[in-house]
Amino acid sequence: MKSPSLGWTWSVIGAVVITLLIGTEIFLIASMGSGSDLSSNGKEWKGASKFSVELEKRHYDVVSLLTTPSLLYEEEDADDTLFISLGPERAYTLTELHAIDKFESRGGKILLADDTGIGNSLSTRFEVNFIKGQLYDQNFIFNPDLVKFNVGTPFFNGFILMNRPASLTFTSGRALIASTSSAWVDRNGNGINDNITTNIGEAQGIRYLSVISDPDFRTEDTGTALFISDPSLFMNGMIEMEGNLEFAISLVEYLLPEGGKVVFDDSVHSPSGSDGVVQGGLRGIAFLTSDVNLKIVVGSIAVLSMLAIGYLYESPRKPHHDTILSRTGVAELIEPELLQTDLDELKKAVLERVRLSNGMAIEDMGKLSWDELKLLLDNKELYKFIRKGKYHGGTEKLLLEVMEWQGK
Amino acid sequence: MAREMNRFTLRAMGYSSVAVASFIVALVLSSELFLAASLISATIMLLSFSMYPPRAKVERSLPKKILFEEEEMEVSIDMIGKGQIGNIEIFDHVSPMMEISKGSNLALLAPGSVKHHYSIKAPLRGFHKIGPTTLRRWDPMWLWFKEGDSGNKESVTVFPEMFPGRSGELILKDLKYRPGDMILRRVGMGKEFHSIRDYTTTDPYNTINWKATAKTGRLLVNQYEAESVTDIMFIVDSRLVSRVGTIRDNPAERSVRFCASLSSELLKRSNRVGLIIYGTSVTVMKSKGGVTALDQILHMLTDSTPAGQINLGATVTYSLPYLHPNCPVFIISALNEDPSVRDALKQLIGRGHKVTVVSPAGVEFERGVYEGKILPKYVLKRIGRDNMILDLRSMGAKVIDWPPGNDIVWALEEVWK
Repeated sequence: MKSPSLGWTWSVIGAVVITLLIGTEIFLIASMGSGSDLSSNGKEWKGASKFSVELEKRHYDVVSLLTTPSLLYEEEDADDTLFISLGPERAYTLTELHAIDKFESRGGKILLADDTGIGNSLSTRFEVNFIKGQLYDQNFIFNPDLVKFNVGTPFFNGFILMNRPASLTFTSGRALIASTSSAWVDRNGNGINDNITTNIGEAQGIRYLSVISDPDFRTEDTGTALFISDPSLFMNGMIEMEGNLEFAISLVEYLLPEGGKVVFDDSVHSPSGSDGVVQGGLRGIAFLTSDVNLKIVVGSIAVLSMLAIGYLYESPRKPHHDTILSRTGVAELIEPELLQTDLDELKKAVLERVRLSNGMAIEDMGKLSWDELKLLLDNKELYKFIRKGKYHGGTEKLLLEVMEWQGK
Repeated sequence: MAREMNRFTLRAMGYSSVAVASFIVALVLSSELFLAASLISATIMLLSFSMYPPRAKVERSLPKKILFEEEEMEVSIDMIGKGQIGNIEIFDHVSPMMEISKGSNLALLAPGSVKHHYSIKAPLRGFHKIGPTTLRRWDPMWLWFKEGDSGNKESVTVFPEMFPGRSGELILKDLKYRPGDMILRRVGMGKEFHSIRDYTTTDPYNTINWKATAKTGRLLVNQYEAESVTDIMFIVDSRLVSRVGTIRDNPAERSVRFCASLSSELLKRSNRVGLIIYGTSVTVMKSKGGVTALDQILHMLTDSTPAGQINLGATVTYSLPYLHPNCPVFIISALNEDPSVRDALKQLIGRGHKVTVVSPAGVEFERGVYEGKILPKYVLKRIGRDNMILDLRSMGAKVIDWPPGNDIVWALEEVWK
C-alpha cells in the first residue's frame, strides 16, 4: 500500500489542530461568564443572572458585552438602550470612556453600580464621585453590613437592602437615595467611627447612595447616567431581599419606559482560569477592531503590508538559456593609452624596424652615425623623436607619423 | 527525481495578502464586503492548494554524443508519469557554450502532451553538458508550482570544425630531409609483410613465396606494406593571452581549428602527425598516423583551454626529445606576450627543423573588441609584432601573419604556397 505523502500528512495534522483550536474556543466562549462576580450570566450567589433573567421576562433585549464598551460606538439605537455596569473590576480606558460618553450624548442610558471607587473613571465625567469606605447607618438587619434604606423616588417607593454600601458625592444631577443623618463612612476601614480623634471625614451626616445625572431626561429626550453606590443589591443572593428586585426592575423601566435593549457590561469582570484567557483574547480583538486610532493604524498597516508584499516579493523568474559566446577578452590593450615607458619602447621598436628592414646586425646598428640613421629613417619628426625624445602635436600625431612611416 | 521545492507566484502572494488584509479591514470596518473579498481570495488559494499536479519524470534522448563545431542536433524529451500529465513547464539546461537553433529548451506542455523537441547548435569546441531538466508542476490556477530537477546530465563532445584544403594542391615541399618510417596498412614497397596474392608477370622473382607456392601448387607472391616518409609536429599556443577577442573567435580557437584541419589533411595523405599544446602545462602527443591519431589530436584540441603562461621557449626545450630529426614543425601562436619566441625558433631552426609559424594576429583580435578603433597602444604593439615577424622570417622561418578577416581556408592555402 502506498504511504501518504509528507505534504498530505502535514495538511491532515494542520486541519486537526485548527479544528481542535476552534472547538476549544467555541466551548470556552459558550461556558464563559458562569464564574465571575456580578456577571449577567453568573448563576452563583454573587452573579447577576436573576436580574438579567427578570429583564428578559419583561421582554427586554438583554445582551452581555464580553469584550469592551468601545462597541457602544456601533450601537445604532442608543435612545432605547441601557448600559449597565455592575461592580467594575477594572477602570475604563480612554477609548471606552469616549465610547460611553458618545453613547450617552446620543440618548443612551447608563447605570453604574460600584462600591470600590473604580467606577470613578466614568462617574467623574458626570461630576459624581464614589467615596471609598463602607457606609454605616442606623437601619440595618442582622448586622451593620446589611443596611436598609427607605427609597422614595418617582419610580419606586419602598425599602431596599444594601450590603456594605459605599457613598456618593455629586456637584450636578439629583440624589435618588440618601441615608439618615446618623450615617457615617468608615474611611480608614477599621469598623470604628474615629472621626473625633482622626478627623478624616467619618463625621455623621446624610450620605447619598444613588444619583442621576440628568433627571429630566424623559422630557428632554436625552441620555442620562444613574449611579448607585452598592452593586451587591443586584446580586442573586441579595436581589430577592426586601424590595431590591422591584427597585431594580422599576429602575430599568424608569430609564427605558418604552422597553428596549439592556447591555450588561461583563467585560469589566475578570473571570479566572481559561475563561479569563479567552475573554482577554476576545477583548484584544474587540479593542483592535473598535478603537478608532487603532482602526486607522491597523487598516493602514494591512494595506501597506499588502502593497509592500506586492513591491518586495519577487515572483519566481522564468528560466532562460544564456550563452557566453559574445564575451570578450583583452590582453595587450588592457591599458590602451601610452605611458612614458611605452614611448621608450616605441623608440626601440622604430630602431628595430630600421635594423630589420635594412638587414643589419645589432652590432652594425650600433656603429651607425646620427646622420646615417636620419637617412635611413627618412622622416624628420621621427628622427627628432629618436634622437631627442621630442615630438610636436602630442602623442596622437606621433603615432600617426609612425604608422605612416611603417606603411612605407 | 530530486527533492522538489514549492514556489509561489506574485499572484499567489497577492491573493493571500488580499485575503489577510481584507479580513483585517473587515474586522476594522465591520464590513461584510471586505469579509466577502477575504473569503473569495482565501477560497481561490484553498482550491489552488487542493489540486495537486501529478508527478512526472524526464527521459532525454540525443541522436549522437560527438559533434563538430557549427553542427546541429535535435534533442528529444519524453515525459513519463502516471495519469494525465499537464501544466508542466520544462527547462532543459544547456551549456552556455551552446546555442538553441530551433525551438526552445523552455516549454510549457499542455495537458496530455508528453514530448518536446528542440535543436542545439555547437559553435564552440569542448565537452559540453546538457541537462538536467528542471520541471515545474503548476497548479491548475497558475498560482504556485513545485520545482525539481529530473533526468541526467549528458556530455556532448564538440570537436573543432575542420576545413578541407583544396584537393590536389596539398603537397608538402621539402619533406624528405630525414623522413621517419610509417606503416600505412596498404600495399607498397616497404619491408613489413602485408599479404599474399597470385603472381603476375610484372612481379620480381624475389617476391615469390615459395612455401605457399608449394602448398597450393600455383605461383604466389608476397606483398609488403607501403611506408610513408613524413613526420610533422604541431606546437599549439593555448596560453590565457591567446583568448583575446571574443569567445567564439580568438587566436586560440583559430589555432585549434587550423591545427585540426591541417592534421586531418596530412593524416589523410598518410603522414604521421604529432601535437604539443602549451599553456598551463605542456602536453605532448608523439607523431602517429591513421584514424586513431586524428581521434587523439581532436580530443587533445577539444580539451585544451586557454590558460596559463608557459612560453614557447620552455615548451620547445621540453619537447625536443619528442621531435624527429629535421621534421617540419608548425608553430600556431599569436606570438603575443612571449619574449622567448626568437630563441625558441633559433633552437628549432638550428636543429634543422623546417619551421612554419602560423600566427593569428592577436593584437588585431583585441582591436576588434574596441570596434576597430586605433588605440595608441595598438600602434606600439603592431610595430612590435611586425618587427618580430620580420625577425623570424630573417631567421628562415615561414611566418604566416593571419589577420582576423581571413578565414582558415586562406591560412591553409598560405601554408602550401
